[in-house]
Parts: sequence; structure tokens; C-alpha cells
Amino acid sequence: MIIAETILAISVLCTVPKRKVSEFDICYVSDGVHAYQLSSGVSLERKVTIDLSEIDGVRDVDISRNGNVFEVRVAMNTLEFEKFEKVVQKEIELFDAFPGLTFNFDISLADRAELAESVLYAA
Amino acid sequence: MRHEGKHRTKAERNAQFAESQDLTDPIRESWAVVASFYSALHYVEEFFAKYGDPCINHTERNAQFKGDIRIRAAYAHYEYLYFISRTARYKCEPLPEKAYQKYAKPRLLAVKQQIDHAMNIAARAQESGAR
Repeated sequence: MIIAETILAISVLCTVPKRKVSEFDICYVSDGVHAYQLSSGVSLERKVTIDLSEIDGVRDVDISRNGNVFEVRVAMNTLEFEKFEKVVQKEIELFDAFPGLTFNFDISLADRAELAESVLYAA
Repeated sequence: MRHEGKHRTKAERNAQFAESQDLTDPIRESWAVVASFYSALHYVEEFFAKYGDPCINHTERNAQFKGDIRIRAAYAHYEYLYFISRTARYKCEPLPEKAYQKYAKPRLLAVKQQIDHAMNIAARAQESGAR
């Protein structure tokens, strides 16, 4: 009887639909020295790209990695300081969270042609 | 060799140069924006020359700036000046109207105020330590 109940319980548990882990639920985990990991297994580049792309005024994000150095290129679609400041806040947050890594931010204004293109696509 | 006094002079001269431009001329206004960034850079270098390590490039300076809690509050303002000065130098499109007055000058003022504040605190700390 006990065996039958156990088998039944296991089969019920196995048929419960798995919850999808949203990329947006993940958070940074750092030992604060030289190592890092992300709680979901998503790469750090991907997580930073997502975070930066969500900032209002950011048009494009491109990150390349060479060892412990990350080159972070951010194209803005505005000159507004309040929006620019949000990107720099993320830069400082990464600087504090990952002292063993280097994040070189290169923030520029997107070309007018690119901006026009994005408007066309949005229309 | 440390040149904190020379950095202050250069910062002020760049700021004066920016102020002296005919801002109705887009090219001169762009140079006013560029001079604002270099003025901010020399204020930061003045601080590092006296209370940190002099820097030889932007990457080194940015890393030290971000890591120095005494002046970090001005980092976004400083980075913004770098951002807008590059826009002025390299982009073909003109800067928005009143770019110097509206975008660059307030950021330069913020950097200068933070550096002055941090210099005063550091100087007082040195004085009290020497007593």
C-alpha cells in the first residue's frame, strides 16, 4: 500500500508542469572578490544587455568579452542627462558588484540615420 | 611630479574659453562643449594629483573616479560631458539648440562643486591629522 502511494505521489509530482524561469527574474550573485555567477545560469553579458536595454533612452547595446574585460557599447537615442545617468548608475553598480571584472562603457549618441530607421520600423 | 595647481589653472582657462565663445555659431558652440569636458577633466586631475594617483588615460581615470567615494557623485556628470563632447566632435549633425548652456555648463558646474567639496574635506582632514 505504502509503495503504491509512493509511486502515485511520484507520478503526480512528475506530471506537474514545470514553471518557466523568466530571464527577467534573475539577479546578480557575486562573491565580491574575483568570481561571479548568475542565479539562472544566463551569461553576465546577456543579463547586462537586458538590464541596459530596458532603460528608457537606450537604443542599442552591444557587449563583447575578452577574459575579465567587458567592452560595453551603448547607443542612446537622446541627449537627456536624466536618461544617460541611469546607464551610468548601472556602470557603477557593476563596478561595485564585480571588483574582479572590468566593464569599459562606451556610451554614444545613435546616428540620426539609425534613429530615423528606428522610427520607420516603429511606424 | 604632481601639478595640482597647474590643473586648476587649466580647468579654469578651459571654462573661460567656453564662456567666451559666440554661442550663436554652431561650430563655436561645439568647441565650448568640448572645452567644458576638458575643464572637468582637469578639475578631476587636480584632485587626483593631490589626493589620489595622476592618470594617463581615460580608462584609468574613469576606474579611479568610479572607485573614489569622495568624488563619485560627480561621475555621471563627468561622463555626460565626455559623451556630449564626443557627439560635438564626431557626429555630423549639429548639437541641439543651446547645447552648451542647457547640457554642458550645468554638468561642468556639478563636477567643479563636487571636486571643491571633496578638496575642502580632504584638506581639513589633513590639517586635523597634522595637529
